[in-house]
Parts: sequence; C-alpha cells; structure tokens
Amino acid sequence: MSAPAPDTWILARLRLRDDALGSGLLWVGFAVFVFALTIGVAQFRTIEVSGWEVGSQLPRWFVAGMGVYLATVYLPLYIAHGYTRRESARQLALSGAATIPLLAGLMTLGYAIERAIYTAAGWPQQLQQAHLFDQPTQYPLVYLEFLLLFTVWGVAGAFVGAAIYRHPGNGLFAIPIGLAMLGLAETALSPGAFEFLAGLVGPIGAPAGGSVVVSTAIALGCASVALPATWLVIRDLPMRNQEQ
Amino acid sequence: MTGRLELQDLTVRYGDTVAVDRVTATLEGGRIHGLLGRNGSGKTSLLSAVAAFRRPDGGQVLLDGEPVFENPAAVRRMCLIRGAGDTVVHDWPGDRVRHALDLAARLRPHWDRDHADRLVERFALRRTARLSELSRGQRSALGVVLGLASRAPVTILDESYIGLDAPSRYAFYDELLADHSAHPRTILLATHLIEEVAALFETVTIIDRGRLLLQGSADDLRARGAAVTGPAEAVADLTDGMRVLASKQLGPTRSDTVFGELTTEQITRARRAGLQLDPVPLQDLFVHLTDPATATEQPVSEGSLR
Repeated sequence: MSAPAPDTWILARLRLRDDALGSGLLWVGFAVFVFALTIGVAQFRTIEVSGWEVGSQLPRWFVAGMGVYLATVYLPLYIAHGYTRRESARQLALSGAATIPLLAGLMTLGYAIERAIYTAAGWPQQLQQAHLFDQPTQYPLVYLEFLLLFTVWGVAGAFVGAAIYRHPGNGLFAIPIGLAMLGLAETALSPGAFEFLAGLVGPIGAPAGGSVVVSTAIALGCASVALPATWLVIRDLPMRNQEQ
Repeated sequence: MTGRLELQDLTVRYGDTVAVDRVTATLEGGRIHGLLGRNGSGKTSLLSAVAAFRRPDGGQVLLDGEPVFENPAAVRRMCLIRGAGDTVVHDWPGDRVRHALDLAARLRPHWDRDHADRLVERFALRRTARLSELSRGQRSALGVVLGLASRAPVTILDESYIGLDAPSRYAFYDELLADHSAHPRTILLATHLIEEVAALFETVTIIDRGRLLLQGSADDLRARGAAVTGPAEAVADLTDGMRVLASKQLGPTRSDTVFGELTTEQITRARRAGLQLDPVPLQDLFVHLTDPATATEQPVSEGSLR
C-alpha cells in the first residue's frame, strides 16, 4: 500500500491560512476597540498621547499565546496525524515566520490610521515610551520593532509552552527563563513598556536609547537562544495521553 | 510494503517505573493482531512507542525494516487512536466533528472520505456536533471513524471502542472485518474486553507488568490451555507435573485449568479415566496467566506471530 504523493508543506499552509485570517480579524476588532476607546476618552479629557502605543502591549501577549498554542496543541496534533516532530516544528516555525511579519505590518498600519484620526481631530500623536523610533511616523522602524518584539514573544511562548507540556512540574522553571528573554528584548527595543520584565534582567538590560543595530542584535540574540532551546525540548517530545 | 512491525528490546520508562520492559516481538503485516493486558500492564505505553508517539527509552521499533521514530515515511503509514480519539482533535467551543474529519482528510495520505461518511452514518454521529459536547460513546465512535477511515497501512486502536454501547461495538466489529477484508492491512487492537473481540484476532500478544507474557496465533493459544474436569483423584493424577493455572473442586468433582498442550498419551489417559477435556476461553487463559498470584516472571512463549 503505497502512500499518495505527499503535500510537503500542508501543515504550514493550514496554520498560515487559519492564523493569518484569525490574526487579521482579531486585529480589526482590536483596532476598532482602541480607536473607539480613544474617541470615547476624548469626550471627557484632552487626548495627549498615542492610544495605539498603550494598546500595543496587548498583542504581545496574543503572540506569546500563539507560540504556546502551536507548541502544546498543534505540534501534538500533527504528530498524532503521522508527522514527525522535525516536520511539524519546521512547518509551524515557517507559519509563524510568515504570520509575525503580517502582524507587525498590521500594528504599523495602526499607527498610520491613528495618525489620520489624530490629525483630523487635532490631537498630538505623542509617544510615552522610548522605542527604536522617535516618531510614530517612522514606519520602517515601527515595523522593525514590532517584528523583533513579536518574534521574541512568539518564540518565548513556544519555549515555555513546550517545556510545561513536556514536564508539567519542572517545566514551570521555563517561565522565568522566558520572562528574562522578554525582559532583555523589551529593554532593548521598548524600555518602559513592561517595567517588571526590565526589572528581571536589571543591569544587563540594554540601555534605553541604544542604537538600532545593538537593539536589533539583542532581540535577535534572544530569539536565537530561545529557538534552539525550544527544539531541544520538542525534538523527542512524548505525546501526552489526554485521557490520563 | 507489508506493514510488518518488529519490536526489538523495546523499553519505556517513566522515571523509575518501567512500563515496558525489553519487549521483543514481531507482528506480521496484513493481519489483525490483539494486544491483551490488564489495566496498567503497559499496553498504551507500548503502542505509543510503536507509533512514535514517544521515543523508546531502549530498543527500537521497525516498520518493514525501517526505524519508526522521527521517520516521515514510517509514521505517515501509521495511525494510532488512543482511548476515545481525543489525541487527534482539540476541544475549543467551536470545534465540531466535521472539523476533526476535515483535518484527518487533509493530513492522512490514505484517508477514504466515502468510508468516513459511511461510518459517520453507521455510528449516528452528527457532523455539526461540538466535540466538547460528545458523550463518551460518541467520542469513541469518532475515534473509530478516524482510525478506520485513515486506511493507514498500520492502524492501531488502543481501546478506542471500549466506550461504545454493545450494538455500536458489534457494528464496529462488522466494519473492521469487512474493511480488513476489502483493504488488508496491519491492524492492532488493544483491549481487555477479550471474549468479545477474540474472534477477530489472528494473533494474540499478552503483556503483563510491561513484559511479554505470551504470543501466538489465536487458535494455537486456545489449544494451549485445557480444562480437565472429573473425579478429583483422576484429575490430580493427570495434571500432576503440569502447569495448573486454576483449580476448583465441588464435592468429589474437580476442575483444573492447565496451560500447555496435552500430549496424545495424556488425552488417551483422560478418556480412559472418563475425564472431560474442554478448551479454555482466551479470556480465562488471559485471566489466569496474568493473575499476580499465579503469574510467572518469565515469558511463557516467545517468537514471531505468523
């Protein structure tokens, strides 16, 4: 009984279709919420800062959750359907590598839409925190920051999720490691966004206002550590019996 | 490509607990094999290692001579459904039966959509039913559909049908036999509902406390046990020196369940003494062999199943 010709990238295509569509729809809801809230607040007080900047902290957690979900739900699901860990991990990483730039683009688009609203309303689009960019109109740098942040948050989520799936007890030790990676990346890219994360890495955190190259290197370094660490956890991941 | 499975010194551990202890066995392709064992005997651990759901802690599993673990060509030819099939679906509120079937149709290279449709109807599953709202029986039915319609060259059902009610279980047995007849492949059924499925098995493997206890064709195994009934003294005389798995006595009548084939001389002696010889049902044999009070530490049979 020979197998029909395999569809080599089926897992990546399935995930990309669902995740890209889902992320896009969620972004629409998120954007409507943030802008409606901003307009609502404007009825009571003067708008002086970018609401999108404040709201952009939430999508980081969404991306981390996506990493957790890919590692703990889809990876076992694909293994159960006759795919190896290597095939599944490679294709899930590929789908993540395609979804994250899309999300970064949507978040950048959010600043552009906010710019149009604020300009029409005569509000200043002021940033509260340090970033790779000084103005929200520096779209290439805005995009780069979200791209790097989402990459680190997504990989850290996958690492922590896989570790807890594999070792429900000892896997919890992956949480401080994951948070430390996030702290390092956040202090390098967007200091002030998550003070408690910055506190985890303390003096080794990148200084605010560091160069784009250094900050990018730090974020990529975090992802470069987290990605192989995740692979070490999942390369011979035992499937849980969900009935037990 | 026959779907021949070889287990070589297969070992699975959980910390200090040895769940599968150096099991060596061969399961020939194209047959229906039964894997019997008490609860906690290591069946699920063994099957998980066979289907590459976990890396063995020792030894290896070969499918047609190729290692299984992390081998795309091998794992693509296998389908293990554990329990009620919940390992191949997830339970978000929006997830429905049709989603599980659609996913299997996309990922399983041998998936038979028509067969799946027929089985869904036979087991009265609603395609629109939410997975989280399925009863245990419906979950089991979904597991059976996912397993059988996968048409995987090696299809393994780990007590997937236990949650079905009796009419559905009989429907499952009918479907399994018809499907295997039309599309011969290696099917491995793990169960402790032995008597009900015993007729399906061409070969039987019994494991106990993680170790291989017995292997053989179902017919051979049935022939290897006998119940000797008659006057107590004559029964004791005949079974003296044999492995007696169980003994019952009511007044002057005694019945010994013995393991091992009776020789022609023993059969002749039994007839002369007016003793009654009966085959031992597979389930009784299993119960006696895995009874902790009478079980041996050593395998009672080794070799390949043909």
